[in-house]
Amino acid sequence: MNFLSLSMLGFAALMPLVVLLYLLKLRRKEQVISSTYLWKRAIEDFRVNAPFQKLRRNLLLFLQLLVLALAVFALMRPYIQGKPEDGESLFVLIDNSASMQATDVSPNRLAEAKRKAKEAVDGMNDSDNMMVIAYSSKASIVASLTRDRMRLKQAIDALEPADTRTNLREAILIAASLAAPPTAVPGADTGPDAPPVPVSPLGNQVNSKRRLVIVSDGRFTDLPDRLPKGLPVSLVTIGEKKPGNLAITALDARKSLDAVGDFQVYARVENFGKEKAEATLELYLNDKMIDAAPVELGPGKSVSRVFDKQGLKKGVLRVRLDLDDDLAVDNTAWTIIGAEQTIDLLLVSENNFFLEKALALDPRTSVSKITPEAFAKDERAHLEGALAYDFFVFDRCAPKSLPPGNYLFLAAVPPLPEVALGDEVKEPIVVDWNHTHPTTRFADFGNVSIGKSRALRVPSWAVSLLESDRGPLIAALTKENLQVGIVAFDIFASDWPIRLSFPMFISNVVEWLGGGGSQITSATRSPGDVVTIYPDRGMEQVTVTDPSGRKQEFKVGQDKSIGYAATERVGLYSVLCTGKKEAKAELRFAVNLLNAEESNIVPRENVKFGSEAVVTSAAVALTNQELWRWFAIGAFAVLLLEWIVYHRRVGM
Amino acid sequence: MATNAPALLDPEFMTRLEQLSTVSRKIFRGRLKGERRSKKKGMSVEFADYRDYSQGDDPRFLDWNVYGRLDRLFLKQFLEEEDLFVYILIDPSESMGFGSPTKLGYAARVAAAIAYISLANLDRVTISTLGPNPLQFGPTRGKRQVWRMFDFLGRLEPAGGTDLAPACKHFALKHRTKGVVVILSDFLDKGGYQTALRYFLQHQMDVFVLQLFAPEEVEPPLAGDLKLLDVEDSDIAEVSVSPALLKIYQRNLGAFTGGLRDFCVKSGFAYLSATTAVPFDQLILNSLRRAGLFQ
Repeated sequence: MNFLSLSMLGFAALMPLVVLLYLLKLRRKEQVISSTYLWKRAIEDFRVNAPFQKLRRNLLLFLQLLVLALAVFALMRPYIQGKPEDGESLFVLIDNSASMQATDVSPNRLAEAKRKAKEAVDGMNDSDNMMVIAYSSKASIVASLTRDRMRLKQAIDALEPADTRTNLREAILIAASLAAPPTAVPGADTGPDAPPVPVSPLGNQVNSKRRLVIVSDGRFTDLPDRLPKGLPVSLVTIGEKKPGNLAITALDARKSLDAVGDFQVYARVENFGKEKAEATLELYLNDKMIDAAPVELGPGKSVSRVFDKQGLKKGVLRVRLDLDDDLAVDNTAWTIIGAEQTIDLLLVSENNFFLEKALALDPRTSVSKITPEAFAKDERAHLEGALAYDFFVFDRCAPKSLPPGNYLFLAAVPPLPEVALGDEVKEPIVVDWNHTHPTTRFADFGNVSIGKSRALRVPSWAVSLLESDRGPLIAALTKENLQVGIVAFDIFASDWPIRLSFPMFISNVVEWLGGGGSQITSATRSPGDVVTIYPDRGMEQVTVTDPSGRKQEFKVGQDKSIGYAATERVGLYSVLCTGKKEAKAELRFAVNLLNAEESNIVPRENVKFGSEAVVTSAAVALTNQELWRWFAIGAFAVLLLEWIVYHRRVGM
Repeated sequence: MATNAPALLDPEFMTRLEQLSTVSRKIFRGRLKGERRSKKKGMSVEFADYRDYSQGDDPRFLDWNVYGRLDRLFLKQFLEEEDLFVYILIDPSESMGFGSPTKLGYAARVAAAIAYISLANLDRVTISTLGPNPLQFGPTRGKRQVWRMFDFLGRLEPAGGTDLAPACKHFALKHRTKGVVVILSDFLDKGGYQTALRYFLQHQMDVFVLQLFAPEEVEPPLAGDLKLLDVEDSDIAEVSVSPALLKIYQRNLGAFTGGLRDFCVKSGFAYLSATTAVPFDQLILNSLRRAGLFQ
């Protein structure tokens, strides 16, 4: 047993005071009686009958001293030490993902996790140190390895919940690399073939005893395949066994393709609790309720609701579950529906069935077709009338000049000095594509085979959208007053037109080039996602306001796109792009949880890393079990006993 | 003196004494002579008193002269036949001054009652204190002595320690005439009571041992840590009063009185114990009668 506050031993100096008070108190009251004859005999008999009479006579004193001793012990905060004298480095990973906001543990799981972490801080020895890493969709070091208990506690207190999914892998990788042994283990295999022994970047701050503690409700998916070597890992599970949670796990608003102004709003509700639940699913447009539907769900069941709404034009659609369950963050979801507009485009092409069909898919487009010959005859007239067309599509041809505007080139390049098509390339293999660019999102190019292409040379500021082993195949150029998409290969020399990615790409291009103005990759995102904002030409500053009203400002740089990563909370984010001459564009995007893994808040206790099970423990650090409560209870019990003894002696 | 005299002389006490006397006369009726266990034969013809004749009295003792003068029948009482010596011994030690009323006061009342009845019955009454300097009343007889007797008892005051043995020895040496001895004491004698009481065995006295206690002694109203001071010798006993100790005290008290009773039974003495809470007339009528004092 050790003591955390040895200085409290000073209170033991009160003991002589108690003895003194007892002696003072023992000045007996005098009482005259007829004869001490019988009393003397009684006292003698009493002593004979009670061998501990001497002790009993001072029982009260002993009890009082015992109370004091116990109280002093409690103040000294004794604990049972379960760890060796040399310190331990504790790497505490605290889950602050969406599911940790569940209120099945009062006040919520994150608060409970913080409490447990602080408990471990309280139990730290002087030679111990601790690092706190919070993880949600990304891991961040909240407190670096330190012995400073105050700093650790402050860091833990400052931890805020995020509405994101859980990415434990990253946190474990960070912790494992930081918790690597402080120095290379002497005597280990140091042959030339041995893998390099990882050494912690923290150096000697890391104690030789190291431990990784994951504080979580166990709702994570991407686990490392195996436990870090030589680093004991334990899991502290937070959460009640039977939480109740209804969640919106899917939300989509689609335009009906047949009728302009009609929207289909699709929402899926799942019950992650162990009991049947009822709620009302409400649909709001710009905070005005426009529809509602009751949902009733057995445990583990899900139900879909489709609202067919007419006359919706633009605004924020919000779907809300009207109930009070253990996790509130998944009871609301938002989506943005855009304004109706017509996109006029000019297709310069000989004949391209696939392209025409794809362009016509969007009901907003109005395609004017012209042959390259006809276009060449009166190029100026067509281009000068640029204002009449939102953008131009050049299929296997190119204009001689390029006035400001939006263009898509297929198997051709714009007449720009930086861009050129080179030699023919046979069977380029698709290597990667840009997932975030507005034109290529949702498109999967993995199954596209290309027979031949031409080497595309683009300037460094161009965004390569589809990359092959021989260079870019599709690229996007955003210059002042100019927005150009280039497909380097002829689509007829590939199977692309019959792949899903083709109409998807074309549809995106229509949106990108025809939509005009500033763009956001997607109107709805998951928490923690990076949202890329593409400000319109001429915009200089972008201000993003998050649901809590916090503003973040960005200067528009040369690459014309802004990555906004502070999407940790669900809700509506508004983006204000401002430029010269009072140019202004306001955009909005919504961040929704829509994640069954996070909404499923039933804590999981058996976690396996590959084939290795993680040890589950109740506390972050079992080692320092403080005993002061027991001593305090003991002191109280002895105090009661003392009171009883006193009354038995005094009372009749 | 001041404490006891008024108590003895108060009208209520006198009334009760008178009642007691009447009652006792009824008890004694018909066995005036020779019926008492007196060991002495009445040889004297000394006249002692008159009393009204009642049916059944021996006509030989009628005073015909008086009858001739007053035309009423009086019976002459000759104490010679009943010349019983009644010795009342009172322990006047300071421990007897304990209690409320004091044990001594109570003892004085009991003594007064016994003496009153005995005087009324023409017994020869001697009242003496058991101390180093004994005070003595009597021997005397006849109702005329009642007021003097009251005066004597009223003047008794607790003083000195209890040392029964020398006092009893002194008394026994002085009074060799057989008779009834009533000893009123608490017998809280640190030297023991056995030696003292054995002196009465020699003269074949009719001994009545009356052990008196104050209620406070039977159930001490004590609590806490106390320094008990002996009123007689200022002996000190430090006690922490607990229920267990009180239990043992009471057990010891029982053993003490039991020991005295056993001693008395073995020695042929009558033994009685009483607390001052018992009304004295009740003690006289019930307990002492049962013990054979008035039979």
